[in-house]
Amino acid sequence: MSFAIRRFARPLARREVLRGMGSIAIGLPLLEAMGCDRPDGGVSPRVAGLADPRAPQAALPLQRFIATSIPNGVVPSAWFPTGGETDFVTKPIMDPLPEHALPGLAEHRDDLVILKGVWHKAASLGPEKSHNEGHSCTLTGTIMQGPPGTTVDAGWTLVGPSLDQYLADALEQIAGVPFAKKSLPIVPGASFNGSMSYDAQGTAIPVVSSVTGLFDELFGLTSLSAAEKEALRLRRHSVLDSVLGNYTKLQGRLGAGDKARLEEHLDALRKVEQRIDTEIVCDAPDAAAYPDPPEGFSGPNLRDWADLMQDLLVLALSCDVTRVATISYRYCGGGSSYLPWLGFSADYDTGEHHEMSHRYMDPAWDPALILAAQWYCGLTAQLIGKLKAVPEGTGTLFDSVILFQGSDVATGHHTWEDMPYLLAGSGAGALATGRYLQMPQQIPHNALLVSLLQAFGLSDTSFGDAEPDSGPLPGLLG
Amino acid sequence: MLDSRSRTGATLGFAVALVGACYDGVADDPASGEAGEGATEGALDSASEGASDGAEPADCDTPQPGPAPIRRLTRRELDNTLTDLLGPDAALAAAMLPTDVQARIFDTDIASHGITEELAYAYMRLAEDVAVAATTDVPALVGCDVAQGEACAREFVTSLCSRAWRRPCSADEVDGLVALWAAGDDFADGVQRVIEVVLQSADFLYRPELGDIVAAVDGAVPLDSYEIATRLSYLLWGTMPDDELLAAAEADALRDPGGIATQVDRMLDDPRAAEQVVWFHEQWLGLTAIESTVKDPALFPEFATARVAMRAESARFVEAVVLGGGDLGDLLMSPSTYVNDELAAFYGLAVPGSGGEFVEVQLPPDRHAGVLTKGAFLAIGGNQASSSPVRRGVTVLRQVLCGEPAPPPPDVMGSVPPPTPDTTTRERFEVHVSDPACSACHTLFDPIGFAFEHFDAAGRWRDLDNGFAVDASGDLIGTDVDGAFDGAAALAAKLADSEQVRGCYVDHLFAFANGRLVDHDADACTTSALRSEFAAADYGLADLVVALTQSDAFRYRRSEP
Repeated sequence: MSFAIRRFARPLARREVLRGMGSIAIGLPLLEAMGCDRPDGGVSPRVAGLADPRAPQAALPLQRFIATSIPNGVVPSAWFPTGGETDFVTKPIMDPLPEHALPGLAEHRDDLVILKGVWHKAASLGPEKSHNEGHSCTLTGTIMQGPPGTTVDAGWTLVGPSLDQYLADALEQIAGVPFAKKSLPIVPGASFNGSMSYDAQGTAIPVVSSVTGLFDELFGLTSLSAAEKEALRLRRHSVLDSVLGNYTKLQGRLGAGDKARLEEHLDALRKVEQRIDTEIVCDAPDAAAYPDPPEGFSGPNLRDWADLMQDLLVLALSCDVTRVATISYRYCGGGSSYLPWLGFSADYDTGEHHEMSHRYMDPAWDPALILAAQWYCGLTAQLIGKLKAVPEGTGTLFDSVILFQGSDVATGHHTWEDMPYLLAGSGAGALATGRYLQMPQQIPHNALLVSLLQAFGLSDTSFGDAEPDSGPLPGLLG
Repeated sequence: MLDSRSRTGATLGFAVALVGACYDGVADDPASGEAGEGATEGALDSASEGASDGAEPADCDTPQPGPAPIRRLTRRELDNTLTDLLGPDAALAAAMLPTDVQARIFDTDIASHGITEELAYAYMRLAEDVAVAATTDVPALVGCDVAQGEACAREFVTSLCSRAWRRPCSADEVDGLVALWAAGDDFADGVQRVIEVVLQSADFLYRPELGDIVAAVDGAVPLDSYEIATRLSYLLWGTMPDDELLAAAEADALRDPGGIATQVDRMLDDPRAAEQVVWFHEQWLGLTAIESTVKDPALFPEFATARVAMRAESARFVEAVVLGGGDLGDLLMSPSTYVNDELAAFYGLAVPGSGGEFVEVQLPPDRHAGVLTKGAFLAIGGNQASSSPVRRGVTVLRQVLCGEPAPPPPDVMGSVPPPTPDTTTRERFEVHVSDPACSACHTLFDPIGFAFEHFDAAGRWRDLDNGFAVDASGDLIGTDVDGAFDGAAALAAKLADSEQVRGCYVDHLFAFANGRLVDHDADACTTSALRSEFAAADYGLADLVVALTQSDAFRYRRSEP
């Protein structure tokens, strides 16, 4: 995959950098600027922006991308602000919920860009024009392919990649080294429907659903001594070498088509080999503080799961394990989303979120729908607060972040215009925040995806086949 | 390159061959109601890539298998295999693997089996976790005296390798794994390393088929007995070969149809075969979606729990028909079904008094006919409050008749006219018939959907729709059994008599069994043989499965450059 990169020379070849990988954790001086030491770093020309420690020669600031999504859209009258671009006043969905110990997005008003007039054209052209497409195509901007009038089980296909994966590849190329984790897709439960992250072939990136699983992935090795880590690294290389030998040997006996398939697997194995050489530079938190909530995330423990996963996401970013993460908390459609902690009934007919969202005709349901959206937005506000609580350089971790919050529909009756999209964070000064941007007419959200890539220093002008060559979203970037 | 790369956004790759101007401007006359031979054979291009006139191939006297790209274990197959190889605790470790993303109808389709770096990493972690789980009791695992050191390790490695890779391992392979064991910190650590390598290897995750190249005949290479054992066990049981199959392979008894038949008879009697049969049919008709199908709770309050029983109902029906010696006609027309107390009450039937247990009941045959009148199929073909004739019709057209309606033009937003109190569901779709921009395509499937109008959104029989009499009549167009029908049972009778439907079923079973869509050119000998066998067996469904295992394509692969 090649990227249109706006500035700087081609980064170092992987091998050159990796040769020093055994001591990278200690060797690269600027890594001390993150992790747990947090001395003052240099101040870049951008607002509190740090130079990318892995590519200091690139003179690019360190930036991170987070995508999240709230289910079942919003009640528009309680979402879109009043007022103009900079003097806007937020509406109730952005208010805090003190009884749930949740802040509101309004608290971060000056760090937000609230958008109106963005159209999920990709979903509007899908086979079912429903939550599946709305959610899965949020970051791909591509049209889901499938027989019309069918459900996803009929065998839909999706062309990727999603923005987070594309961006992660670009950031790794820019940095010249792989990150310990290319990206962090946090989704409760693995399913085609639930994932926002897809590779170029439309294969869903395997998601992270378990708190202990993610903890183990991030920090399972940090309790090991340096000698133990090295022994594990060598052991994994030994095992993978044998495995690679097995594939290569079999490949030699196959015809051209099968040879090519196995070559793909070999490529994947080689990338795994590189990735196991990367180090995670962080003191591990106490594992006992990160258990899997009983009954996981599907029951009343969703908040516990969300809190723990957010903490781990923040840790992963602050330790530079990865720079790209997605997180969502509940699947949107499907009729199994109960929110008893909000006082919603356990009866399917009167308490299931998706069911209620379809009663758009009856305003009697608005308070419940507003409360649900407010709760999910409170989780986003909480995440922003956690990012702001991590010092980095002369500012905080949040300074480098652009967070995108989407939804799988605009409103419960599967509308696609005026998607309730917002951005939070400037990405080290790439984005001017504290704004309410209204588009002059409905613009396909591919333009937003393009703008996000441009905010990360890429010069793409097209992303996703729903609206090829869309160019950026007018007025979003300077 | 991988098939999945050639996904161009086309749908399931079915050849479009229906009469009518709605396919890419093919200027055929609209159906006159009489399907000519060309139309029939065109319509037989089901579940296939590439059109064909379907003519009898020139020479099928020597084996002419179609392509057999190397296949990877599906998630389900992997779970089953790990259980059989190392026990259920080991299989639990596989829970951390991501679910396959299903790109086609069947989970076996290699189009769904792309590999990502993350997946390869997940396989590594899986192998590590399985190795730990499997070595909680090392002496029990290896079955020899650990104190003997390398001698015992070699014995274990030889056994594990051959079972996991489903064929004897060479001396070099065993030596290599023993060397890996020897590099371990201790006996147990060495065993773990061996398990990790064995489970990540291509010989485990994929199903290589090299065959006996020396014995090739006209470019067709006979598979060896181990490879046939693997094909049999994954086709019929979704898991690795059992000891009896492996013994037959070791005796090289599976290269001839007789040896295969002996095993197949035994295997079809095993409960795992029933699971596979159900799994195939559920995917074929999209019935797995029933458990996530949602209905308006005000209209169908019990549906949310009834839908689970509906899945079991269809499963038991299919299993009983297929493994009970039934034929395609039974599958499509039998008025029997299986209900427990809850489901019987939901359908408004006499409650059998069996509690949660399912019992067979007979329904009125003028109303209920086969799998298409089961609640699962009907409810999936419905919106939350109303039936969806378009969805039901399209599903039957695509999955049962292997027709391929073109997608709607991009500027049609596809909004369903809202229900009103003065019309039936059918009448709401009048515009599909009256507007020429719609009718060219919609007359191919709406009428099929109307056949089911006596079933509401939740799959229950109704005499009235919105208080009005139901009109379930229609005309089949563009098929080999065109003509008028009234009601689902009459439609089912037509379908049961249709060569097109028979060929379509064969093609779907082929796709499931082979991990790819039928190629009517490359698979011509195979499909024509299967169709003949199917007919000779009066369309017995289990007979078709047997015929699949007896075909040349099952025992040979073609040599690839």
